[in-house]
Amino acid sequence: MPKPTLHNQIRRLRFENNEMTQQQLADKTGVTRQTIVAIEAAKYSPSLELAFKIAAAFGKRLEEVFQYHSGKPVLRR
Amino acid sequence: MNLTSIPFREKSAWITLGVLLVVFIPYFTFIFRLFAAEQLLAGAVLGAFVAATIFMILLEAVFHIALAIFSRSEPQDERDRAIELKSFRVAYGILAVTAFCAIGAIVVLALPYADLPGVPWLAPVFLSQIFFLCFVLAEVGKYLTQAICYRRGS
Repeated sequence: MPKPTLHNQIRRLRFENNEMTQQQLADKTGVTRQTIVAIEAAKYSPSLELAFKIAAAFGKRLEEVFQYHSGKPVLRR
Repeated sequence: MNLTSIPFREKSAWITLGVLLVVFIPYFTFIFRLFAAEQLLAGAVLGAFVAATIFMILLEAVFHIALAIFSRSEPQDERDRAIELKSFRVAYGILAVTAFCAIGAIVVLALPYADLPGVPWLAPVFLSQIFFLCFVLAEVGKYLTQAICYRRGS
């Protein structure tokens, strides 16, 4: 069974928001640029608080920024 | 590899890892050579330990001062704390395994001869160095874990 994965739209949203840099997003959310890099690359899962801060930085809802795929097959009728 | 793009804490982890290896590989080589030559006396061990400690403190101070001057320090964020916690878990695991292995080796190799006079494996000086080695290995594991986690970008 595929492993659950967490995807995000941070890179796209940065470009849509006046081409915000990773450092600018890091400064807005109170973390280091390397943390933003790791989150964008899906190598690090942010805490709930940080995820909400990132979403707020883009003016988006949480699920518009982060998507969770459980890895379980979806049954369609 | 662009050194300026490496985070401050990763550089610090690599520095401490390097200092541990530079100081304690020669230290334990010296100690075990003394043991092999049956010259492991408390005075020699204490002198080596003090010298190693002073050398380590000096190296750490010099390199971290240079790091602070040439690199921008950043406050610790949640990912830094997560990496630190992971490194402490690894270090504790190494410490537990090596200490139990040391205890097991002492029980199997030395205790059957405990009644005989002058068994070198049971000398307090030697035992102290064995357990000190377990601690140093745990520290090496801790900083190696941090360096690898930062390098992987996780």
